[in-house]
Amino acid sequence: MKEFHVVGKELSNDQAYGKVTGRLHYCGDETTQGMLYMRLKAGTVSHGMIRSIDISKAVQLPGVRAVYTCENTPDRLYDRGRVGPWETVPNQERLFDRHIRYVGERVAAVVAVSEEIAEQACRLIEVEYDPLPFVVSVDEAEREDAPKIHPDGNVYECAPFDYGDYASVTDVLCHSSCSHIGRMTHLAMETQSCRAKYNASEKTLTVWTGCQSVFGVRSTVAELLQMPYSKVRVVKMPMGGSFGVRQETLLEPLTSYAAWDLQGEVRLVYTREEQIVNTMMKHSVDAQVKSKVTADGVIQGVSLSCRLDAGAYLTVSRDYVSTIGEKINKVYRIPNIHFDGRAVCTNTPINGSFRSWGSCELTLCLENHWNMVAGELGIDPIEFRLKNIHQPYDEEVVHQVSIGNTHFEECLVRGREAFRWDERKEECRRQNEQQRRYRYGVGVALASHTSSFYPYRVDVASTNARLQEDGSLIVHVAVHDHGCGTVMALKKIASEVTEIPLENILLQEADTQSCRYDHGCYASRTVYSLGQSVKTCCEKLMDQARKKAAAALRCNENVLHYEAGVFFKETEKTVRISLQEICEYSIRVTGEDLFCSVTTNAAANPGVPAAHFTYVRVDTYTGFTKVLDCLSVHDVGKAINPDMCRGQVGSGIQQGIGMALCEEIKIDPKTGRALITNFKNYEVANAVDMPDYQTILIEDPEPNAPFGAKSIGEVVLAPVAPAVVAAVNHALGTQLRHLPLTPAVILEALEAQK
Amino acid sequence: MELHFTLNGRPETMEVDGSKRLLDFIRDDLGLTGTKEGCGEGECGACTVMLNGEAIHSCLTMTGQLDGGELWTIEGLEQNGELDVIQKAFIKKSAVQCGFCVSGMVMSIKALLLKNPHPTQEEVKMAIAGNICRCTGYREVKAAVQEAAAAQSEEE
Repeated sequence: MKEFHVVGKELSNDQAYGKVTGRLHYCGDETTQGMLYMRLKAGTVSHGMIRSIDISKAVQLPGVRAVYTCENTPDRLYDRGRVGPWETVPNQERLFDRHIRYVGERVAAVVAVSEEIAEQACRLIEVEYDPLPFVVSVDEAEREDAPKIHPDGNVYECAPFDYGDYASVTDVLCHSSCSHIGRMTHLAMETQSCRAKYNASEKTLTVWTGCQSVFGVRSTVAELLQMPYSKVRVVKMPMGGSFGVRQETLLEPLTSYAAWDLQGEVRLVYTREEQIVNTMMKHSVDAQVKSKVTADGVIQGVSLSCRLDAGAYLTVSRDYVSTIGEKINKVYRIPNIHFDGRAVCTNTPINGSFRSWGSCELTLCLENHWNMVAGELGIDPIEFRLKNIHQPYDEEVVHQVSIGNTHFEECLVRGREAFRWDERKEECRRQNEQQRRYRYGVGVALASHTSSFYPYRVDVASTNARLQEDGSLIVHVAVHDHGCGTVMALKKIASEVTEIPLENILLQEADTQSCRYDHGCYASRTVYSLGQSVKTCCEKLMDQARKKAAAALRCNENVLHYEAGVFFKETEKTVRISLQEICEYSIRVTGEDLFCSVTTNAAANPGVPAAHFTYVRVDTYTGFTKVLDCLSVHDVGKAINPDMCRGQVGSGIQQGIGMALCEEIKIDPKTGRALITNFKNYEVANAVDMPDYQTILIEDPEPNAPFGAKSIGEVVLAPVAPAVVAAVNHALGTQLRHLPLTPAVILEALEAQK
Repeated sequence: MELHFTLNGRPETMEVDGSKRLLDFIRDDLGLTGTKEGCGEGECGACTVMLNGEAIHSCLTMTGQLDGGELWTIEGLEQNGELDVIQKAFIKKSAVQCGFCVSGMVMSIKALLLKNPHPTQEEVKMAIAGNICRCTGYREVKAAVQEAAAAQSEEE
């Protein structure tokens, strides 16, 4: 295999120095002279109309600059999930709405010279409501006579998908299972923050935000303020984690509006409570899976129906449901498929984007089902999967595109061996024989995910690169690093191609003013799509440099070799020219700047097989489940940042265990209010709870990918929870699929077994 | 109140409101924004600083409690352009992703290694149990602590 200079080497966080010293500024760390601070007032009704809102005391408080409510802000609709202006979206949100749809929805904002004063003024605002009937559960909201939360009702169906003819499959064994996933909070360590500054002399607005799509934010903000896009600049700031919570446009419209209105600079930083209640949560999902499988375990058909609780506004939820369907054929060969789904609005906090956008939900429901089926057929769950998995370059039937150079079999087989699956399974059987206090189980699950938008959206990725006069390089590409090292990945790609050392390359994050258009960094597309764009751009730049070198050295470019910043003649090594000299020659002799600008369109979407194996111990006295050991095997094509890939696996395991066992934001059935609004009551695995885990990265380069690299960031989550669920069920002989499997749920199941 | 304390090794005297949260004092009055707020209730550990050799939650501490004390924040660890062994180990072991928990995590470990230069894996886990990280799964962090402990004893 080719030896790389920097690709595949460690030390992958570009900002590690700034982060370990506290020197790196996140959005909420920035203060400037004259900056104003915003705080929000939360509504207190489940559903109602604001009858009156009295801000007179608040505006009189010294230090208050403005108070915003539905009575003094534009009655303009926007959509948090929209990126491009051409998108058809629900458009249900306003800066402030008289119609309040969940407890905690913002009803007013105060801008003041300090956060304390703004907070104090919020308490002085008096709001009276005319309550409306409301619905908390999805079951209620779906009823014909349910109160309507939006004029078009509460239920939003997505188009069903059919391949083959599921109904007509006969002579097989039918199975059915239901799974439930609870609401979760992303728990990004940094709460949401945004800073906006209006420059009245230039009539320009700058917005600093730790977002995933600067162009999406710009589009929404510019249209809300009726400003030309060219006069609105959005700069991506370092973010303290996303996991999906920074994908949508949340704080930017309001912060920008205040900055524009006050012709100044305004900052809004969410509290943890606002972060939980007023961003979005992970959807709660109810799904029914039916399948038709031959007696020897070959899948003949699958049917999945799912229902997502969207919360009070539809936002991205209908798309989210269809994405679950679109991903249904990424792992197994299935000749007959049916999918249908719907999103249902309720008077509860909004649900929306979450890491993996459907992959973790889909995987949970399907893998729970396949584990059940394998058990019922008496087939080992790994053997069952080996009979059904996609082979490399199979076509997935939803979008009819190749799944690429994927290795599901190797993931399962290598994982089985490394995890000592067969021995451990036997150990569990022995350990459980005596029915003692602790029961042991093993579980496995398999998943995949996307590496680009292709083909459901044209994947546009653009890069500009310009060689500087000293031979160093500046690259502009609209990358949004979530903190997982994507800036370094792209920089390594640029360095690998140009052989310019990493420390001489500047590659900053997305900025609408210096970068060309990009939809944003989600769908795990950054390395595959943006990476290919950077690679192509740098290759073309080096072609230009080679031409200039040949002209300067008066030779044919074919005889020139390139190494570490110098072109030279192989036969006559003293005939040489450095990048710095080429730049000078180009500018001073030929009168041309050395730069390149390319747009690439990913024309494939390789899958990323991921198998997770886990070993758990369930305490039958307390109902508490401990993950003792686990292993994730990932087919990544090529790990550009292997250390960050392994790091992300750890984070996926932490979130997946949380999803399976403990993390849930419960909703008050009487009011729709979130019952957990702080860190204290949200159960999340800490350093003591987290098991030791192993990671295997399978690296067989993907063709047409940057140095063979595919995605990793989201798929790490997908197989974890269903593997844990399977292990618990294996330990106890249960069929639990209503998550999370908290001690109470497990004790109840044990009670029912008696 | 008039507050006397040492900040990252340097003596300071300041007139402050002693009832202010230490976190706000550090961030707003001292302008040291490396210390982060993740929850405001002592549960996430992002605001951890070292006061008189102990790792504490600055969001649950009042500024007045600093009087006569010795405060270290993340900004104080780099001395004469050289990173602390813990900071070096975090970089070397790739324990840094989004970085928002890192300052607090490093300060918890700093306090641990001062008291216990050779911690066991269990002691490391306990020392950072109050520092929540959503990006790494803690494995790299635990490795960084062992690396830092080893580097520290080599230096001695």
